[in-house]
Amino acid sequence: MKIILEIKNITKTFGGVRALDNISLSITKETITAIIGPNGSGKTTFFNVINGFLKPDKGKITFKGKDITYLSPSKIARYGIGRTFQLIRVFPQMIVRDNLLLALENPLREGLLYGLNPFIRYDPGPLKEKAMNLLTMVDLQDMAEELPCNLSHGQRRLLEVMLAISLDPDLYLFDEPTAGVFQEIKDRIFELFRQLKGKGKTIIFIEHNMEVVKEIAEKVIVLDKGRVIAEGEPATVLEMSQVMEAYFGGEFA
Amino acid sequence: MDYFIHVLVIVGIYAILSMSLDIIVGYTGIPALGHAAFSLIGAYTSALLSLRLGLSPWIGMFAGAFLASIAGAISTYPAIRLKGDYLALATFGLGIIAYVIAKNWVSLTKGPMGLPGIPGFSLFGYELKEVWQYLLLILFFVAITYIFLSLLVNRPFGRVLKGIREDEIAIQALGKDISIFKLKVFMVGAFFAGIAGALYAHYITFIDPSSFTLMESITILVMLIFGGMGTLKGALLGAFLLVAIPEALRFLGLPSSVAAQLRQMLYGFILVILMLYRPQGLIGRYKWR
Amino acid sequence: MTSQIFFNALISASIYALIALGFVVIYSTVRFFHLAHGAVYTMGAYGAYTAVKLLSNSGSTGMQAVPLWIYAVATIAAMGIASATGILIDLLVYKPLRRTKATSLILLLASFGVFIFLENLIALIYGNQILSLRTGPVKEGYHLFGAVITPIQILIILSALIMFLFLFALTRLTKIGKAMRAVADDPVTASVVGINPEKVIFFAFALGSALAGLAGMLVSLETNLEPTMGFGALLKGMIAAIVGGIGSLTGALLGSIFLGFTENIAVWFLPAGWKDAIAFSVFLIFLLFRPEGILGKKEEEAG
Repeated sequence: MKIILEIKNITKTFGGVRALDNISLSITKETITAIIGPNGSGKTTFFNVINGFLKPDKGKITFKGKDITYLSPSKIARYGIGRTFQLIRVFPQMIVRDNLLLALENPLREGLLYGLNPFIRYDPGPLKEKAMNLLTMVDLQDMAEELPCNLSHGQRRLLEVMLAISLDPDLYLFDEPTAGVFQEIKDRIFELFRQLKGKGKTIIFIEHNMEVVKEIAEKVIVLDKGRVIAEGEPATVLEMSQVMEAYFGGEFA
Repeated sequence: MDYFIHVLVIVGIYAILSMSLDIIVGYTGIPALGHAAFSLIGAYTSALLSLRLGLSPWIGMFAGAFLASIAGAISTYPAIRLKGDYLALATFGLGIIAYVIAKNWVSLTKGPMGLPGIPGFSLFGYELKEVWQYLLLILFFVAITYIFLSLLVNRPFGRVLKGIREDEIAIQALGKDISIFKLKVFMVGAFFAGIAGALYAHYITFIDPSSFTLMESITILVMLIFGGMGTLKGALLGAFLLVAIPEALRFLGLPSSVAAQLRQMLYGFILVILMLYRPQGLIGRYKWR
Repeated sequence: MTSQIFFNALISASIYALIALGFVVIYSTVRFFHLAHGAVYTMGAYGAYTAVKLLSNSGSTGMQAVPLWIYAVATIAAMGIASATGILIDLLVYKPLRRTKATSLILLLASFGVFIFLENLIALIYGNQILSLRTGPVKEGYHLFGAVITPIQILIILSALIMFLFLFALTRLTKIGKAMRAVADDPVTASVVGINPEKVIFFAFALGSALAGLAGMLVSLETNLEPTMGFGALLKGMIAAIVGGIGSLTGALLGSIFLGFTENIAVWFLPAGWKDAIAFSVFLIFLLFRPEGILGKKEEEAG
């Protein structure tokens, strides 16, 4: 029961608003955790802080034993945290397969000197094969040479998820991965979650759909106004009166 | 005849400038408006080393390109912290500072008087004197620039550059350190701009700060946008068309100062039209966002 | 000696303020850097020149002082022509771009194109030589606190002050002024409340450009005209606006004062040619470390 991510006293303020208010929690390895809460409760901000896109005002984040609180996003990604975003982020002017090549490429070949060296031949063949395999896993192989704008919303979301998977991180942060997506693709995404967990990965995802949470998540954390107001097993948490109040009775940001 | 060859030499110099700007602006998406500063450094370094220390222009050129490349590294700093129009302003601020230093550090650069009598290139002891010889030299460097930059943009490094252009956040989430890539692309772009500057200095044999103003930076940019950003061929095309066509204006028999004005007006007009109707230029793969 | 520096700084600050104020009036409603403002400034100056030349029908080089009323008309001409130019630029270039939801970078580049086009057009029509708006014998300056200051320089300082107060009052007391502030603050909400943003933008360009024209004319009375005058003026005005805190009139004023004084004090130690380098260094420092300027507030994260 190892702890892979430890959050201690994280606070983040914007202007006058406390987006994250002294949050502390821990995530166990090889689990699937859902983060829920009304709009404006700080869920995406929370992800942004873990990921390094925002720096907290106070607090400490430890990942795999290392303090990652103030590291740059790219460094955190390299340490093993993958991310998808609320609004799908893929590379719009590159074809689907090239999107994956970007994620899959060996960093040693991305250097300047390798790029300028006229005496070696760069063969993207093996890499392209790897990319096609990944695409076949999610039935996107026919769209390999299309631009992302020609994909459906759900297919773009799948692509974004595959980009994160290509990075092979130990921890995944999925921000509303199934918003606006057809049931069929939703299923595919959750199947991927289960497979990832089977391979020893840890997943945290932000979700609004309670049915999904009940089905997939092993643990639920509820945020409201930047604070953790409940955590535990889905069935129990979702019955709690505080959670009800946060969603229906309280103020929505 | 010599005149046409001269025009082609100028096309060649701008082709190198345009391609070197393309990797920064067209491939990486950084609005760099101070590119002339890098060719200024290349030109002045090379000229001064030849004039004051008697060094060969070949050494001067590489020294100049190298120094320009260091200046390019400085440009990265604003490129990391600023976005869009603020970044554009910062880069042209840096460009203007280079110009103002060249103009005012009279003890070094002779200021507005310029540096006359810059020695030309020599090959194996034989000094190049004819215009067609310089054309061959320039074409050689254009080819070298095209080959190296082509390698760069088609390799994984280039792919990351495009990723930065497309979505800086997504590419960081994939573990790429965008600051290092921006630093490297500026250094490479500045290097080749420095080469172009040195070639210009030794060909024309006279330089002064007025060849490296903000207007020059914008001129190179307009050539690039016109031909098409995000593809090296677009850079070449833009340089060729926007150097050659205004030269044709001379044949209308206009006095040269009028021709100069008209040429500038043309650039301004083209820039507006491009922004309004065709930001990807003729064959470009990228339009400003 | 120090009082001369003080007055020089004040004069510089006033010139920058006249340009910066107009620039800010426009920026706050359209939210991009309208670089062509420099060309509008030049149009104003040349408009005044043309008016003076036409009305005084002087073939002479102006050794005879031209009556004051002609200068008054010239001022109106300057402001009118500048205003018209600004409005035309908006209608022909910026408005179509706004419809395509162009980013502020694209608008900045387009603005550059307009600037280059107009500046060279003026050079084509009037030639590259330096022209003078002054007529009559050179007037001696007044001696004030140990410094020399000419009537025109006094006029410049007063104009800057008056313009600032006028704009301040306008944006706080009149309907259109308040509408401008609303659009500057939040264009979406402003339109929800029934303010027509296009109308406000039109007015902003008319007003801001008129100010540029006035600035152009006053400065050419002081330092003559040439087609490239707009460039330096625009840069200084823009630097002043950004340093003070872009989007606010008080910011423009503060930035102008800061820039004027920094430049003139520094020139005490450095040769005069480095003035521009100082201005740009100040500019870069602010862009990199405090882009919101002296007064500005930081843009909030989208969260």
